[in-house]
Amino acid sequence: MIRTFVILLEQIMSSSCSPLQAEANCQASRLQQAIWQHQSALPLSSRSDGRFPGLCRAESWDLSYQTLDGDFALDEPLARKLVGSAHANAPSGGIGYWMKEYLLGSPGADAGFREQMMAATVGPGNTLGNVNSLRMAGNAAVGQNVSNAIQAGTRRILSGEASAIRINEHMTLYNANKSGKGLPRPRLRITGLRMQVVSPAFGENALRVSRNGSMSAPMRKIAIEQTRKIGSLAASSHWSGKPASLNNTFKGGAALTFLPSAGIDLYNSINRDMQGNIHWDHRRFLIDSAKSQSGNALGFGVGLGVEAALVAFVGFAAAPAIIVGLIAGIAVQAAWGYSGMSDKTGSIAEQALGTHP
Amino acid sequence: MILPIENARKGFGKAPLLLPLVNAMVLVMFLCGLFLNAITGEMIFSLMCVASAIGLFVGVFDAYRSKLLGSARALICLGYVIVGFEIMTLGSVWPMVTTLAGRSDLKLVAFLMHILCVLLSVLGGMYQEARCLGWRTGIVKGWWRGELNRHVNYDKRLVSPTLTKQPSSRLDSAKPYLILGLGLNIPLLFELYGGGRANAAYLAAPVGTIATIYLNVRYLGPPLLRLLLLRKLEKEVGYRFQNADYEQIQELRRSFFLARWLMKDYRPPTPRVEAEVLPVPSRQAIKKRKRRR
Repeated sequence: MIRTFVILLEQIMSSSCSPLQAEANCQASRLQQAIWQHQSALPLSSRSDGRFPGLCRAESWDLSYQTLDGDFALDEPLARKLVGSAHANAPSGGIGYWMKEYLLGSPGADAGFREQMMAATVGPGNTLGNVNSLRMAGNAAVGQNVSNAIQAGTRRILSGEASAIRINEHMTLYNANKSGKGLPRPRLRITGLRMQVVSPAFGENALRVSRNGSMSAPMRKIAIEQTRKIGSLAASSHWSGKPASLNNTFKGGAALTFLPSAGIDLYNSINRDMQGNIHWDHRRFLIDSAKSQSGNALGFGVGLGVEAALVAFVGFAAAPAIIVGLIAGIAVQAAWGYSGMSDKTGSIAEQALGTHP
Repeated sequence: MILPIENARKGFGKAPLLLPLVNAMVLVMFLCGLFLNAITGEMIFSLMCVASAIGLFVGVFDAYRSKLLGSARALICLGYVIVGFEIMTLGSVWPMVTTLAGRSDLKLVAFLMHILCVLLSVLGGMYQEARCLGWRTGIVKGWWRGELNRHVNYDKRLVSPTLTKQPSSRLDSAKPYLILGLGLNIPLLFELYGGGRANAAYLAAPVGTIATIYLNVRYLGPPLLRLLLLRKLEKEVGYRFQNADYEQIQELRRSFFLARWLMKDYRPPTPRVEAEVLPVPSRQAIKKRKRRR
């Protein structure tokens, strides 16, 4: 009930803005309705029940910000404005091909800023998709003051009075024709306009494959519809999921341990001769690596071993176990260097590689 | 600490692999710290092999066959952590520090200082817990019996792992690989700017002692007292308590590597079913339902 009241309020408020902004508000409220419908259709508290264990659904929505940068030409897509909100259904017979194409087609490659904006916000293909993500840009760009300023600035540039006019902190109107001959061409440069992007955030469990095999449950038809809608929203919006990169994998940690020493050994083993050519002494690199990486490997293995043993074997909290494992790793590395074992390893490598060629 | 089933699931099966490594590290660090002049490289190597073998046998025994009699196993575990790890491993960085600084006559003194810190912190942790439980000190005396009785089942002779359960913190899901990987470059910094990689001992020694003190006071002292009180209870009633999660851990053990030959009572593990699977009504049932309406 409160939700319908909020929707009504939005529509009332939107009557005082420009028609495009009202349209954008309308689409945004429709998106909100879709989100609420989806959330109320499924039992969505992730803790309570396992009735839909195999259903992949977003637990929450990530709000993030992206910046819009670009240069755009100015134009006035009059026909779209006159017809009003765009619908997915094709207009009735009697309207020619050009009108249909104009209404339902996508803007060309050199379309102006406003046309791109309108196509993005109220185009038939992505009504639900990009509305929220470009909503703030739309509001910022086509608010009444800004469009007045754009028109006034355009007049000034066309008359040759000014060459660059600042509209607000994100938009600058400038004359792209620098040659001095011919008509001035006003273009709009956008820098750093912040847009709010709504994307679904999947919880940790949604993307993990269960170790005991996949669990399946029959999905009701309506759940599939909702999931498909929100899934297309996720696909078309800018969802930057968490990449499973070097964050918490074994390879990541191992790379961080071994690579800096490898880099330094490499640096030490590259030298220049008298003519300035680069000469890589690979023998020296291998000997240095034998010294340093043996300590690294020992420290890494021992650190992991101690930490795992403390967590699992003794039954211990994880946080101090990491620190204790780290200190054990450092202590073992220091002892390895101190006891001279690293130099001995280096001399073993030196013997194995033979005399200097 | 009495082993709960969640922690056992995380890495109990890896104990035969981890324990040789840890054991070897403990012994070698101890020898390197105090006795570096007296022992040659070959002796260190052979002692390392012996320590690894001992660790392997103990690990296999504990992971596959131990009966998890609560107080005895937990006391041995805790004792190994305190003596083996804290005193012998982290404590032997102090003699290294004194030798690096040129005062090798202070080796034993530094080592004993570390032992003193460890003992004081363990006793401090135990004293704090004794005040909470009311054993010989504190406000409510004798309350420890009631507290222990909450976790002990006298009829079945079981003790629940919640006796020594620590409150879980938010950092439990912190990933260790990244921290280890970054932190192990600290000796590299010492090598570049500090006059040799061995000088990282100057950092590792006091930080190790501080970590030991924190660990003992917060995490190892209180459970030690509780386990000693459990032992006291056992002596009173005459029989030993067993880990309440024993059946579940046995079930877990059956899925370990080579469990068939190493376990006492082995049978093929039953697959775990976690989520209830909704019954899918057949086509006839759906048609019947529609017809009824």
